[in-house]
Amino acid sequence: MRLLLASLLLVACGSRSGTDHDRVLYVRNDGADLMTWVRGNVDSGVVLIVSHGGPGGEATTYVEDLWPLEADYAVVYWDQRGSGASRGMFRAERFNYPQFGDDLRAVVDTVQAVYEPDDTFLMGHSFGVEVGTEFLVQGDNQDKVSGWMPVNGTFSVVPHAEAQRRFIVDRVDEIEANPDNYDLDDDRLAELQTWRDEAEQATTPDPMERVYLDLMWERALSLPAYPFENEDSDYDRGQRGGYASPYSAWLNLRNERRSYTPMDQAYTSWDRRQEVAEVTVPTAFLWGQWDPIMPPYVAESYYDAIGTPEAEKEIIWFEHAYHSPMYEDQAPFNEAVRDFVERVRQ
Amino acid sequence: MLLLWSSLALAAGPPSAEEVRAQYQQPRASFSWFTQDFSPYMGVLGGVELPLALYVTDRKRRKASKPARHAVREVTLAVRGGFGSEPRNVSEVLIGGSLIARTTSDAGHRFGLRAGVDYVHGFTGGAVYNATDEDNVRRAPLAALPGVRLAAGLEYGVDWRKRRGNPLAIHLIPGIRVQGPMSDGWMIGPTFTVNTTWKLGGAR
Repeated sequence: MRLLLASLLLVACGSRSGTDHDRVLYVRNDGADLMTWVRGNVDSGVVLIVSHGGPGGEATTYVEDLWPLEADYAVVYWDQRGSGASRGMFRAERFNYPQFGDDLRAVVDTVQAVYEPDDTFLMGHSFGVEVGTEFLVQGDNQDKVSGWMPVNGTFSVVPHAEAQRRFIVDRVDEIEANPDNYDLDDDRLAELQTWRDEAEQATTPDPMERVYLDLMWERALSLPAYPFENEDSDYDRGQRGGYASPYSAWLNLRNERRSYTPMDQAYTSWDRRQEVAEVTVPTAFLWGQWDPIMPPYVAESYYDAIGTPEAEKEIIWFEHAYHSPMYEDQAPFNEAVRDFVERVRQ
Repeated sequence: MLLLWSSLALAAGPPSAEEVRAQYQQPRASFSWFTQDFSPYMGVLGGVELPLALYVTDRKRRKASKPARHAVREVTLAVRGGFGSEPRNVSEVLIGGSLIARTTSDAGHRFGLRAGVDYVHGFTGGAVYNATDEDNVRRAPLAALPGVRLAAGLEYGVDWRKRRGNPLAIHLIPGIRVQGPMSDGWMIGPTFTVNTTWKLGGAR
């Protein structure tokens, strides 16, 4: 009987080791229960914590692209408050950038307390870069992590809007020089040329104005996509669903509607250009080169602004990708992640 | 033997209105499987259905020489208890009941409305951690979450009409539920139930 009870207790507590680990935790912070899915090789001593995009996105979708890394490292997919499969009772005022940064702090502290890794790396995608940046500039949080991998995301609204302005100019120039690559009639081309001319004359406001931000966003995303070919890519999608998956379509839909609007409104005044100068964590910017949402100039601006020494930061361009290189260029992306992690660990 | 049995049944003739009333007036056992929120949540409920009011109506006969056909309208109380669970998240014990307003056509097709309330006692299934700072990371207690679940739905079913008394019916019930208070406030979401009932006791 005692042996049975001890066994049940062990099962109830959950395993904290293994090379094929699969466990869901909930990190409770300021009213939110943040779904945190830990998968892969926890014996490696390396944890990679992935912050999803959005606002209001969800983490489990990244399993489909990043699962090859789980053989080498423990990968943590966590849902931000009001996102994915996360739960909780909290007031709407909790949707703000400092809160999201502290939520990531709670996830990092929990994962490190439970699994005691030698090295913790952060990855942020799109809005997840904003969350990761907010975390790194708060207190001594950057001392908790060994490396930072921003993927097509920003550290401030102003360089983001400026990057889209420049992107409009450069893309229309390219379209104008190679019209045969695009199926455009004369009216559409004339419209794009007008956008280019207006963008050349415009000055990105600082502090940001909502009208300008929305205009650059709308026009950049309306441009014809750069027609790269990706015939050599090696895709191997994983499965994030199944009965025992924490994913819930209804909960995801419901959460998406909760968090996008307040965080989008907060973004108009979000600016960490000065704060990131104090961040010195080894950093690899992993960037889809043809992204209209976060054009490559954002990576260059963040690279220049962050306080990390030159020898410990780099930009890795994915020429066959737009906004999501982990999805659009899966194998090279995961290889770049491994290379960076191993270089930092040496 | 089967041929003899069927011959005897045919020879008995179609049931009268009084016989149909007698068949439907009896309590029935009920078993349901349900899911909600397009999630891995699944639950089962077992109980009884108790007819409160019953109206048996004659359907229009195609020919005077044809036997009478009967439709049944009923208001029934269903009492049930059960268990639901979502892997890695929550487990729940439910007990409650619902009112069903239902019509069964002479061909055995059933259409109805259901509305019910359950008391729910839930337990967090996934480990929950509080992390105020790096030196204070602790497991939250396995909390029992009492609450209320209100559910309503439309019902479509088939009554497997048998000469010897309609023993079995199966229903599909898409619906909606409101549940709380939960860690997530009051949760509203879609539900889907498959329910079967069968007559307690023997056939007529």
